[in-house]
Amino acid sequence: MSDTYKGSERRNREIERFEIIVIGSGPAGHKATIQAAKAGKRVLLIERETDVGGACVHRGTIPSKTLRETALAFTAFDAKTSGMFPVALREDLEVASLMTRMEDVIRAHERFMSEQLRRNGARKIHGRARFLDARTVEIETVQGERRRASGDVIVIATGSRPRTPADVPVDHDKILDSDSLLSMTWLPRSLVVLGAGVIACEYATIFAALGTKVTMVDKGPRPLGFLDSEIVDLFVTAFTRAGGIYLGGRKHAKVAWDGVEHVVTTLDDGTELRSDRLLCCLGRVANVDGLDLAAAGLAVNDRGVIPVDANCRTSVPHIYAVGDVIGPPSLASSSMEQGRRAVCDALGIELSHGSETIPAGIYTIPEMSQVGLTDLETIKKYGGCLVGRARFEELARGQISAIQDGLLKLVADPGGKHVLGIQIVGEGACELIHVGQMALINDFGVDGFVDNIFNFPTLAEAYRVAALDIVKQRNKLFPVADATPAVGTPAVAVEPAPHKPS
Amino acid sequence: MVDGVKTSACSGSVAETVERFRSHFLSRIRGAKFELPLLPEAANRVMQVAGDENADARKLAEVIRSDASLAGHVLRIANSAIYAPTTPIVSLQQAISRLGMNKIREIALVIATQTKVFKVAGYDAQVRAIFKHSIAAAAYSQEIARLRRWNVEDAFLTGLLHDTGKPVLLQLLVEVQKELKLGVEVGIVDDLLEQMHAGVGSRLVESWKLPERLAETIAYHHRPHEAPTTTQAAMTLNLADELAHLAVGPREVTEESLRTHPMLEPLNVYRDELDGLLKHKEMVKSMAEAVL
Ligand SMILES: Cc1cc2nc3c(=O)[nH]c(=O)nc-3n(C[C@H](O)[C@H](O)[C@H](O)COP(=O)(O)OP(=O)(O)OC[C@H]3O[C@@H](n4cnc5c(N)ncnc54)[C@H](O)[C@@H]3O)c2cc1C
Repeated sequence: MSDTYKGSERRNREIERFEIIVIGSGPAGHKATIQAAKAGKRVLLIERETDVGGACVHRGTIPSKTLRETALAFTAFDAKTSGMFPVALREDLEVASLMTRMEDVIRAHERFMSEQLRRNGARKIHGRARFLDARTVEIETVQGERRRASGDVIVIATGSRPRTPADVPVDHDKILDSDSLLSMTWLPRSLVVLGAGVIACEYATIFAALGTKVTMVDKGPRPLGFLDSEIVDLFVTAFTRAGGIYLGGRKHAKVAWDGVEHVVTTLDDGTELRSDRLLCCLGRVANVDGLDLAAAGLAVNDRGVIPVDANCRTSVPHIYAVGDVIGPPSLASSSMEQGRRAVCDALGIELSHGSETIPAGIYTIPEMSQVGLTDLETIKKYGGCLVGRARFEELARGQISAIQDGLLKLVADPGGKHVLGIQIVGEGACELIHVGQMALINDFGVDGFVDNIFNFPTLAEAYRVAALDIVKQRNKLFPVADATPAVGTPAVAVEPAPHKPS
Repeated sequence: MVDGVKTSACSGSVAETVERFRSHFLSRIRGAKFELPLLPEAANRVMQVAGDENADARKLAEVIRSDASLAGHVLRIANSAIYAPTTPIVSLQQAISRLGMNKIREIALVIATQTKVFKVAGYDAQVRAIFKHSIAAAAYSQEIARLRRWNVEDAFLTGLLHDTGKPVLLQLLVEVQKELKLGVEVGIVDDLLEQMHAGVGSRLVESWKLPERLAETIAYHHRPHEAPTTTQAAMTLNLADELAHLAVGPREVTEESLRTHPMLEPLNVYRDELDGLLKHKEMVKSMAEAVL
């Protein structure tokens, strides 16, 4: 028997003990680990990839946003110079040349995350984890060694990956998913995108801005069904103006590579699309294969995700699950919060009241963002609502920066006093939303926006314009200011404005 | 043994002969304009498929993709002044998409009729083995890239072209031997090939105006850790090279040795993933054998 064999045998039998074990180093697992380490706990982080960071750093958020920045510089130049210097990307451009900064951005972020782990004294093992029982995990290293560790608390943060329907032959070469899209060699002249969720819309608009002829196909009548439809309609207008086509109410019937130069997509209505490349964005699945959840007494629900309570605790009390593996909202931001929350709950660290107001930021071109209730949700809950609107082209900043298709909607209670939700489309939406989010959380009120002074010229002025719009409607409805009903009093049912901007 | 002439056919010690040969060979290589010759059967296949107006475009695309020399020449011509792309064509697929199948057909016919055909008596089998190995390496390289979600087209192309330095060198070696009227031992030829093929292949790819990263990957495929910018791609190619030897040779490699291959760890290939790659062996083998 060789020494190494004896060594690994011994290690096999030995079980190293930890207070907290975290599986997966994406935003959720990373935050959970840091929180545990900061609380002085002996913590182990297990990651199967060579580098930490998860989908967020390596396959999603950061790479897509880096490419977006290039696309944006390109469209912004065109808009700001009113097309005086016609710019067109050269055909045959290599995708890598559009992302020269990506490697640097990823490395910097990854270094920052690793350094944070090291500084806080967290232990990290590179390997794949699976449950042996509810307290013990086995780690398989890339060299094929197996070792064991046990934890008083175990946090599952294994994330998600793109779903590949059986009838879409994803080969990561011509038919790609969001994990492989950016590995493409050259900028395709045409791209069909299946799906119209966040990732689909982000990539569709980025490539359209880069000059690719993009066709998005989805069964929904409009993309991003969960967003305010007025906002989405403006987004579709912008996408169409950039040369994109949205084919709603349809589904792919067949996808195949023709063996020569095109991916041929046949839709259920008989339409045939031919494109250089295809991006399959039909949802994501939780990474649970290989984890052997059953050994820990756990199972996924009918949506394929691990069910948890408000503090991310699973049905086995000392096991938590956080991030994409528990399903929507599936954002890096919410994943981090869940990671922190789970560990605080496990360690009995007092948690501030969980905020219900998680904003959604969608980095399409133009950006979209929303927080709180939409007009329809407000009507459903309070029997009515007042909506203030501000169009970016009516703001000085919007004009100067040549921002088209910008709209901010401020949704208030039927009495027009309390802000209940904000929806924005337009460049800067994902930053701008936080002003509204703070107002919402602190019940700052519609009048607060009117009474306070904003920098000029800014896009933030949109809040003021929208608030004034509400005040105008309020004054018409309730000439005596004091007679306005309070939130929740279904006094007057005001229909939301028609969805098409006037 | 070459042309039936044993080492040191002329006067002087073996060492002196080898040295004379080596220095002459090196001086020929310096500044040489390499051309990658075509296997006669590849030329025939192209004539058959491209010459037939009704033949399937898919078939022609396949023929081009499965021959290192054809593929290289297609890219060379696609990047030449005749077609003058605004930015260089970087992959076969792109060449087909941009130029269209009719132009590719024209190009293929030009290549088949005008490219030098291999005349390396005594080395025929070796040259065929190199081409066969290249197809297998391309197939494996693209599988590894797929697994890791890296660029599949680059991986395929570097796999297909990684050993193009060898046939070029062999052709030159035969010429030099004739010029000096001497023969050298097979062992010496092999040593020279091993030492020099990566550099020559890389120069060849560069001369076709393919991206620098492809040339670098090929230059460093035997010492991937030293690659200045393409370590990952060079490591992929290094592993694919070994897997290709396992599937179709010419070097004998065991599965056992692959299980401890030094690239598995840096490429983050787990045991079951390696098993998955090894399972492709028969498929890769039949692919390579279908052509050669
Ligand atoms: C293209 C794209 C764009 C996006 N853009 C945004 C955006 O703009 N804003 C935003 O908020 N969100 C965005 N997201 C979503 C965001 O990336 C995810 O919500 C987030 O990464 C989820 O974090 P996580 O920690 O749950 O999982 P992940 O980031 O997926 O990390 C999970 C980690 O667990 C590891 N792992 C899995 N199984 C095992 C195992 N058995 N053993 C050991 N390790 C394991 C994986 O290797 C991985 O590193 C985007 C996603 C994509 C794909």
